[in-house]
Amino acid sequence: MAKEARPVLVLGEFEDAETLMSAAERVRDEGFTHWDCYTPYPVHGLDQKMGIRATALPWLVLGGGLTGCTVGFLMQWFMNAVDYKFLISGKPLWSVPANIPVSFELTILFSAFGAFFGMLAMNGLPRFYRPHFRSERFRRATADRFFIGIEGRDRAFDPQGNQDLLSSLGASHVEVVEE
Amino acid sequence: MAEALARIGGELDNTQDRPERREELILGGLNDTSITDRVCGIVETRPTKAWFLALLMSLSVLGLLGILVPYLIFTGVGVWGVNNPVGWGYAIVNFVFWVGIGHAGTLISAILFLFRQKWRTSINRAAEAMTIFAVICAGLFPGIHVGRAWFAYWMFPLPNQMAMWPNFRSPLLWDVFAVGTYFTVSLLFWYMGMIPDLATLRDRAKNGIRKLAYGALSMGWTGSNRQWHRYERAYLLLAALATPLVLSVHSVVSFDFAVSQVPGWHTTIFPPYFVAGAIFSGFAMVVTLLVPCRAIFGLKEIITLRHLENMNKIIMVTGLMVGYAYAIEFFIAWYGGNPVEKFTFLNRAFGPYDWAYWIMVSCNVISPQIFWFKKARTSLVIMFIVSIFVNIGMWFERFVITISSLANDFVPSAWDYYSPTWVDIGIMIGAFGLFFTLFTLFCRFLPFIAMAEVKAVVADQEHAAHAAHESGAAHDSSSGAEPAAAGAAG
Amino acid sequence: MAGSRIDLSNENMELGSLSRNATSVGMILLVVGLVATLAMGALTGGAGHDSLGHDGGAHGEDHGADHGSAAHDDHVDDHAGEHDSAHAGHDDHHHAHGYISERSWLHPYLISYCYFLAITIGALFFVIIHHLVRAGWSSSLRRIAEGVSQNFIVMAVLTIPILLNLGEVYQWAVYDVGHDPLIDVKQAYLNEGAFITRFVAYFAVWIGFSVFFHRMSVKQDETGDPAISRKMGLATPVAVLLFALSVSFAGFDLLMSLDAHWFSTIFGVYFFAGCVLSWHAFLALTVIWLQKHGRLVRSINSEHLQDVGKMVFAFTIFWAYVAFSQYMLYWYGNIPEETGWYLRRQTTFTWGAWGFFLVFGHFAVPFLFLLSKHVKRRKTTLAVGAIWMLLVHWCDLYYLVMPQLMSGSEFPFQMIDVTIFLAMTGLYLITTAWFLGRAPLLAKRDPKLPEALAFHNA
Repeated sequence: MAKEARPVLVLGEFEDAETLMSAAERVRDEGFTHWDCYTPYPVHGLDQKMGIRATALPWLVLGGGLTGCTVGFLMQWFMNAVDYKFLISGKPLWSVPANIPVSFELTILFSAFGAFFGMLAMNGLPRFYRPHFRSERFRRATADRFFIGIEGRDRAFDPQGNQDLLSSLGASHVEVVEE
Repeated sequence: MAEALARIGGELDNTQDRPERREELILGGLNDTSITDRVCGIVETRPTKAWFLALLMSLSVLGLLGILVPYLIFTGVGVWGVNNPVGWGYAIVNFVFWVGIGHAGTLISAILFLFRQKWRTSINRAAEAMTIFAVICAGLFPGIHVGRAWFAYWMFPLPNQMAMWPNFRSPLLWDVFAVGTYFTVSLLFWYMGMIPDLATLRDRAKNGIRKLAYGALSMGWTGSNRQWHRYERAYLLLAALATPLVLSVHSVVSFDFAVSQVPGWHTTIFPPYFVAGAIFSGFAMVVTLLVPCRAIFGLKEIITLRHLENMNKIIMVTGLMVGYAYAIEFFIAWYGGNPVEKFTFLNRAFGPYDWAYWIMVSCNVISPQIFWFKKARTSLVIMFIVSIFVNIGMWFERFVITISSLANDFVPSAWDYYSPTWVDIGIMIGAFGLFFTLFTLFCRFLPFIAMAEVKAVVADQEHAAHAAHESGAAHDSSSGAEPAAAGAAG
Repeated sequence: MAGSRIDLSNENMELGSLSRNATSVGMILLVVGLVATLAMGALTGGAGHDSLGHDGGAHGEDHGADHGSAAHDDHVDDHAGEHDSAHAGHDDHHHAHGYISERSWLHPYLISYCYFLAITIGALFFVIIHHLVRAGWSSSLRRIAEGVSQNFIVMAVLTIPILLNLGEVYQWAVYDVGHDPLIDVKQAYLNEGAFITRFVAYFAVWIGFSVFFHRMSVKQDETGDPAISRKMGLATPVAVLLFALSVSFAGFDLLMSLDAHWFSTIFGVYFFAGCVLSWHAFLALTVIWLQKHGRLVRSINSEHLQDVGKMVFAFTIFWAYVAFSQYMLYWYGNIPEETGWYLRRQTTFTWGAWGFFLVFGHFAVPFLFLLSKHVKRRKTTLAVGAIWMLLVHWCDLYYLVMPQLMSGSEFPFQMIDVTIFLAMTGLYLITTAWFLGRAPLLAKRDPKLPEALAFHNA
C-alpha cells in the first residue's frame, strides 16, 4: 500500500446540513459526476440539490408483487386441483376464495423482497471496503457530521483543486484519502 | 423554540395541545451528538446489575420452556388439558395472544409512517423488536401443537415421499403463509431500519469483535445521499406493503375460527375485530416495556410523555373498537334469531366461564376508559397498570372465544369443562421467558432507538423553531389571510 | 420547504357566482329526473308496464298506484313461490323470505338516498377524524367537508318518504306477526316505531355534530381564536363514538334489513367503507371543479390532491377487504341462512356478472389505476378515478338492494332507477352549492392552515 499512495477520494467535512446543502448545489453545478454527500440522517431537499433522479425501485416492487400473486394462484391451483386432487368440506378442487389469502401473502412477500434486495443491489450493498473508511474523521458521518466526497474516477478529480473548492464552500476540514 | 417546559411528576411536560403549534418531540436540547452518545451508550457501556438480573430472571423462566417443550414432545399432547370437546386449548390461545402482541411494531413502523406521525421514530425500533420476538413466541405454539413436531414441515408445500400437497382450502395453512410472511417482512423492515444505526455503532466500535459484528451487520453502509435516496424509497414501499400485511395477518388468524360453523366463531366482523384487538394488545405491551426501559436507559427526553400519551390514546381508541365488536356480536347473535348462537353469547357472560368473560370485559373495555382523563394518560403508574390489565384482558379474550365456544357447542351431551394442566400453564409462562430473554438481549446489543430517524425529527424541529422565530410576530397576532407557511415537527 | 410563504391575499375563497352554475345544472337534473320519474310512474302504474319485458301483470299493478299498503303481500308470495326454486322447501309458508320481491318506486329511491347519505356521512367523518388526530395537511380542505356535511338536514327530509312507506321495501314492516319466526324474534328491533325513533336519533347525532363543527369553524374565521380548535378537538372522542354506532346501525336498518332473515356483523363496516370511499371521490371532484373556476388555487395544491387520492385508494382496498371478509366467511361456512343472500346474487347470470364487475371495477382496476403517485397528483387522472369510483359505488348499492327482486333470471333494471337518481343528484348539487356558498371555502384562520400550506409529501 505504501508503495503506491494513489489518491482516490477527496473528503470535505461540514458542520451542519445547511452548509452542506448549498455546497452540494455548487458541486453539482461544477459538473462533477462521481461524488456524493454523506449524512447521518436523510436530509430533505438534498436530492434536488444534488440532482438525483427518481429510483426505479417501485417498478421492481411491482414486478415482485405480480410474480408473487401469479406464483400463489398457480401453486395452489396446481397442488390442489391438478397434482393432488383431494375433496374436502364440499369445496371445489379449485376454490378461488380460499386461495386469496395465500396469494395475497405471497404478493406481499415477493414485493417486500423486491424492495429490500432491490435497495441493497442498487446501493451496492453489502460492500465492506470503501476508501472512505480509511478516514478517521469520516467515522462521524454516521453520527453528527456531514461530508462531501469526490471520487477518484471523476473526470474532474484533482486532489488539490477539489480540496480548495470544498474549503471555499464552507468545509471545516478537508482531506485526501489514498489507496 | 426551546422554551422552559413545566413538569408533571418529574417529567418534562410536552403534552400541551396548542392548535397553533406542534409540541417538540425530542426534549432536553438533544442534538445529533448527544443522541448518538446517549443511544450508543446503552450498548457500549458495561451492562448494569439490573440488566443481568433481568436477563437471569428471563432465562430462568425460559428454562421452564426448555424443560416442558421436550417433555411435551417426548410424551405427547396428552399432557395438555385438551380433549373432547375442547381440542384447542392453551396452545391456540397463546398463539393468537402472541401474534396479536406482534402487531404493534409494524403498526408503528408502517402505518404511522404512512400517516406521517413523527412521534413514531422514538419508539419504532423497540416496538419492532418486540414484534419479532412476539411472532417467534407465537410460532412456537402451532409447531408444538401438531403433536409429532418432527413432521412440522408438512405444513409447507414441499415435495415429499408421499407425493402429497398441503390443503390450501384450510385456514390453518393460510396461517402458515400469513405468519411466515409477516415474520419475514417484519424482520426485513426492522433490519433495514437498523442498517444506518448499525453503521453508527460500527464507526464507534473500539474492539475487534464489535467492529466485525457491527461491520458485517451494517454491510458497508456509508450514509451517502444516493444510498439514502433509495433507502428511503424502499422504506416507504415496505411501509406501504406492511400496512395491508399487518391487517391481513390477524384477519387470517381470525379466519381459523370464523370459517367454521362453531357458534360464537362464525361471524363476519371477526377479521377487523381481531385486528383492532391485536393493535390494542400490542400497544399495551409496548407501554409495558417502554415505561421501565426509558427510565433505565435514560431515554426520557427521547421517549417523552407525549409519546406515551399518544400510545395511551391509541389503546383507548382500539379498546373502544374492541368494545364495539363485542356489542355488535351480541346484538347480531340476538338479531340473527339462531338459538344456538344466542345461547353461546349468553353462556359466555353467564355460563361456566363467566369469570373469564368478566375479566376480559373489565380489563379490555372498562380499564382503558380511565384514559378519557389526561391525568391518567400522562401518569406513568396508571398507564403501566392499565397496560398490564389490557395484556391480561386480551389473553382472556382469546381464552373466552376459544374455550367457551368449544366447551358448550351444539349438543349438550357433548359439553365438558376445560381445565388446563400444569404443563399448559408452564408453557404459557415459559413463552414469556423466551420473549423477555430476547428483548433483554436486544436492549444490550442493538440500537434501542432509531437514531437516524430521530435526528431527522430534531432537524425538522429546529427548522420549525427557526421559521416560527422569524415570523414570530405575525404568528402570534394571527395575521389572518396571510399565514406564513411554517414547517412543522410532530 | 419551511419558511416559504404562500400568499393568500388574492385567493378566491368564495363560491360566489359558481353557486349559480351548480344550481342551474342541479335544477335541470332535478326537473328532468322528476318529470321522467313521474312519466315512468304514470306509464308503469297505468297498465302493466311491460315496456321493459318484465314478467307481469300482477306484479306491475302496484307501481305508482298503491304504495304503503299491505295489500300486495299476496303478490309477494306468489311471485316468490314461482321463481325462487332455491328456497323451494319454504313454499308452503307465507313470508318465508324476509324480503319483498315486488319492485317499488322506493327501491331506486332507497339506492339514491343511501348514495347521498353515504357522501354526507363521509364528509362528517372527515371533519371528525381531522380534529381527532389533529391533522394538519387537511386544514385547507376541511371547510368543504363541513359544508357538504350540512346536507344532513336535506337527507333528514329525504328520509320521510322512506319512513312513510316502509312496507314498500321492508318485509318486516308489513308481515303478520306470528307468521315468520325469524322476523318474530327481532320484532322488538324491526318495527316501524323503533325504526323511526332510531332515525330521529341518528339524525340528531349527525345534524348536531355537523352543525356544531361548521358553526365553530366559521366563528374561527372571524376571531382566529385557537381555543375554538381546542374545543372542537375535545368534542371528537364522543363524536366518533356516536358516529360509529349511528352509522353501523343505519347500515343495518337501511340495507341489511331489506332481507330481515339475513345478518352480518361486519355489515356496518361495509356501509362505512362505502361512505368514506365515495366521500373522498366526491371531495376530489369538488376540489378540481372549484380550482377549475379559480377557487382555492393556492391553498390546495397537488400535495393535497395526492393525499385525497391516497384516501380513495386506501378505502378502495378497505372496501375490498371488508367485502371479501364477509363473502369468504359465508361462502366457507355454507350455512343456508347466511348464503341465501349471496345465492340470489350468484345464481343468475346478470347478478353473477354484476358481482364480478364489482370485484374488478370496484377493486382490481381502480387499485391498479390509483397505484401511481402521478395519477393521484394530476387533476385529469384523479378526476377520472374519482368519477369512476362514484359510478361503481352506485353499482355497489344497486347490488345491495336490487337482487332480491326475483323477476326470474331477468335483470330488474328500469329507467326509473336512473331518473330518481338524477333527480336526487340535482337536489344534492343545489343544496351542496347553497351550503358551500354560505361561508368561505377555506377555514382561513385555522391555526393549522400554515401547516397545510407548507405541507409536502415526503
